[in-house]
Amino acid sequence: MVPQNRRKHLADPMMSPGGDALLAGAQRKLYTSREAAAGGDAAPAGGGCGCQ
Amino acid sequence: MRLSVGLAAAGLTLATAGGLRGEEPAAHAPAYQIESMAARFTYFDQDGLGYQSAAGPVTGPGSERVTVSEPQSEVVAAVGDRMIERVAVGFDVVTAASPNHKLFGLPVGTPVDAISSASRINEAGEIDADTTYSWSPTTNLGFHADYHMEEPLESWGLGLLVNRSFADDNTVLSASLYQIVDWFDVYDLDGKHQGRGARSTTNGNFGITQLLTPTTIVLGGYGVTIQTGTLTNTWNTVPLSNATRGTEVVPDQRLRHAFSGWILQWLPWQGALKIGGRFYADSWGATAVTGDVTVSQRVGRLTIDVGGRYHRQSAVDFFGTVFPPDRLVLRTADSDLAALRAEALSAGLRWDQPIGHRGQVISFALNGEHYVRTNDLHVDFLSCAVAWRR
Repeated sequence: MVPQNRRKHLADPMMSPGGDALLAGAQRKLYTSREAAAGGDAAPAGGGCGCQ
Repeated sequence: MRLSVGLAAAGLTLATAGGLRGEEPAAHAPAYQIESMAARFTYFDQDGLGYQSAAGPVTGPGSERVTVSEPQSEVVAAVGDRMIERVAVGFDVVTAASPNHKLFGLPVGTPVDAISSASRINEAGEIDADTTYSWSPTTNLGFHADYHMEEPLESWGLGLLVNRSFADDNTVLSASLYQIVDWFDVYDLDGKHQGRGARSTTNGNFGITQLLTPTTIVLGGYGVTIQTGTLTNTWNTVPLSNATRGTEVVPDQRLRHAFSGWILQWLPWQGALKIGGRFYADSWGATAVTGDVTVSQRVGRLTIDVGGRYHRQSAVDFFGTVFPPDRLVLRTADSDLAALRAEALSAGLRWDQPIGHRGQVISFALNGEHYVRTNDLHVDFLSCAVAWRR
């Protein structure tokens, strides 16, 4: 158990798993439209664009 | 940095929104308050060769040259003390997005054939909306909607998400379900319109976020996706042994599984380390492993990110670079479905400038990435952004 008063570092923006949402979306588009394998990251694997 | 928005939504959003900071909802929250705004411009420059492309020799690989200019914007607002609304809008200006199959066998640079309605430049637009509602101190509900439109395609997506925290927010479990419907024009290799095609994509996800120590977080996720309908983009070609090209033929269903795990470690010199891995397998015979590392370092108001990514995949069962002309069997020459390795190096800079007296910050960011695939494809990615947050 990590008590609430010891989560200062965990709450730092550098520790955010998603980071910048717009940048993450652009990078995701880079990978998913050029590789056969997607998914596992709480987002659909395929669909939503003309590249399968 | 590379973790998807989805994983954040499924996992740690709840924790970072309140639990990690130990904040309670404001007693008298304003009815509506903008929390952040951002604008980003990204440029992709791709070059390479692929056998599915008709822009080259009839029996050889064709050009995959493409550039994409992508402006994006995002607004996040609090609605009362329980609801967060995020709206993002993006546009893509894509060169060579609609290949002209009349061109195969002709010299690269041959003018576009008007009959096929092929375009040198395509424009696409999309809007995403995410609503997160705090049902209780330990449970968040989310709703997602998106719409994507480009010249030959329209796409609608809906999603539902729930996450629940346990043990004083040390553990967060999440589940989400998405449904996407694509509706698009079908063209044959002569560029003739053959009506409309459609595909359905249904996706379910489960995730867990665990605080291990005051400096360590781990995340795990599993996603299953089933796709049905027209799963080719209808303009991919395959080289045939009689020196012509034929249509790509793929199954009308695809079941995809993916497992992912991440560890996030705070570094005592004002830095952070993120290490991730993913395993993927699908019913078309493709398997893949992906590894990802990002190191972040803060120096005053400047944050520096450096990352590396490695991806290796096997080909789908019906991939080839030449097929017999007399049998219409499952076949693809799409270089994205081939056995390949991909490596990427990335770097980013962000300057956070405090403004005013209430903790508001304006940020300027610059990001770059070089992506190389072993089957003759490379992409340069350059992105810049400005953002304001309360």
